[in-house]
Amino acid sequence: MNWRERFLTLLEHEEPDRIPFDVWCSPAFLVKLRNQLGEEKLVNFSRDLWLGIRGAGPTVPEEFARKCVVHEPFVHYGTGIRVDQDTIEDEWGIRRRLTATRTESRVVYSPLKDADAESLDNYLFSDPNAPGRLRMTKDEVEKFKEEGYWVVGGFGIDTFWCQAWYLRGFKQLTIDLYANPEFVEKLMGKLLGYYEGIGKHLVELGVDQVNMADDVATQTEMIVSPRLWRKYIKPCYQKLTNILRPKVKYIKYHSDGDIRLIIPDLIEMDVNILNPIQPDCIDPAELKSLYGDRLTLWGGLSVQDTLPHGTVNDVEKEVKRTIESCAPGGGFVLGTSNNVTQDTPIENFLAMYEAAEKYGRYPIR
Amino acid sequence: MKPDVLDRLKKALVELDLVNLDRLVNESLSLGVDTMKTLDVLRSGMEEIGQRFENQEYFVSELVMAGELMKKTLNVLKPHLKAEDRGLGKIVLGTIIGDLHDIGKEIIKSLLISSGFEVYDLGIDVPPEKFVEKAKETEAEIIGVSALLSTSIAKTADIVKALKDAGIRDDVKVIVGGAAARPWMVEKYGVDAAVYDAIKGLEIIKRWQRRNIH
Repeated sequence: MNWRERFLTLLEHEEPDRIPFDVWCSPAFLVKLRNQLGEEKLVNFSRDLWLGIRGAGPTVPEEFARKCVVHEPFVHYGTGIRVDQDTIEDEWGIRRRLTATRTESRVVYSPLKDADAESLDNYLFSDPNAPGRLRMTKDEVEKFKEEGYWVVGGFGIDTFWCQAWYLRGFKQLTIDLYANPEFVEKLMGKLLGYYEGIGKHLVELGVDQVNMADDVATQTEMIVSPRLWRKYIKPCYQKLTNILRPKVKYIKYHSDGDIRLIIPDLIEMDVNILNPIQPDCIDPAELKSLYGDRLTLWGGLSVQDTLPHGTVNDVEKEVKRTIESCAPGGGFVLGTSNNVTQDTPIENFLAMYEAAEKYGRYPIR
Repeated sequence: MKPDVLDRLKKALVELDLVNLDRLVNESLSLGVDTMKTLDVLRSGMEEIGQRFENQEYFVSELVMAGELMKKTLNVLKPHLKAEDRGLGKIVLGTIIGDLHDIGKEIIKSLLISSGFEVYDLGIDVPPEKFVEKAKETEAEIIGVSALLSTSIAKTADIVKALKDAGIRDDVKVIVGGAAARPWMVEKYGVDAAVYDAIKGLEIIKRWQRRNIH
């Protein structure tokens, strides 16, 4: 089976030959891995051996790229104009400050912090059709497919809630949910305009799957109350997925944390892949039994407890347990539920791969 | 005095009714209701909000909004409080060094302020010694450490060590909170409590306060 066949089989809830394995690593952990194992052994963890995916998505347009844009490769949203040594401004005007190690950043300036519903019209929202927005062509996507890769499109940034609070500020947007509904609706509408534009491009490119990411929960509860999420955010997603479907059959939604309260809503709006299934707060087996016929579960391994704090034996057990509970009948991609952190022992990381190799083949014993 | 005003005031806070809350605070003041009584009613309203949060009727967004409303209301009431109506205690708060996440810290901060604590917020990326310096300077009885990243949270052990070195370990309780906090950290890092969410953290801090801390 090549990767396309494998993904098509598992996403249709049938059993392929083996389970793809999606591992995310923090930059600091990668440095540690490289130092301890050496360059040669890193080849064993190549994504092409374990996942077989090619990505397609938007980038900064040509005009913005000309403004002395820098790229901090290890930082989420690390592309932008350098404001000072530690601060980067992205295309939307959001400023993020980097840590001394340059591996983390946080929003320090939100361009819409003082805006009101009326002045939102004066803010220049990013143009999904700006020249250079999508560098990949339809032909390139076709070529990847011919080579047997699974092609996944994305939006390049988080979708509605997160992008809205980066623009507005977390506390202010939360207050707006209660005190300024007109502003929230208008802001979400403006964001929808951007995502719809990108969505249309992804459809034209002919990607196999589209990823949407928006962290809306902590590990104990939803950040945005489900009632308000359904009022302001869900309708935007529904409009977006209406554009993606039926051309793009597979839609993945990512949110960290415990989002069980909105999973039925996600299914209703045509999401059919869920990521990252954080076992620290969601039981993968429970999700499989409740939604395994409608959702492909993607992820499931703990980067907070088992990998950094467990033993090699604990890691093997978790991989085995997760596979046994989620893999039967297909609809499962094994993966870490976030970045493997710097404090993870190398032997635990290696044990995770060994266990994925040992237990990740069908039929599941 | 019209107890009815206080009932309605509490209801307005619990239901995050912005318009009526403002109006009822002013009404209670103009009726000459004892400010401390008003404050007690509002605090019991915050407890009910915490209860709703525990029951998954309320979520983080409601906690943030309630904290904001309470902060605003406290500002209106403050000039009317008597000098002897002192706060519950002092707490030094911060996100541990190497960690820049502050949403959790902001939530516990507004809950603490609403409950009557005096909070000294050191911000994010805070080195262990800064927590201890501030606790000494303010004579705070509690240090609250916020952490999301498992890689950074081990640094809380350094706070405990610095407190010991300064000879004030017995005077200051240390609580660590956030997604990375685990019960075993109490033993491993020598902290007094490790909790997952803000409401549980607040409960513990209040319990310490009720027992007069030590």
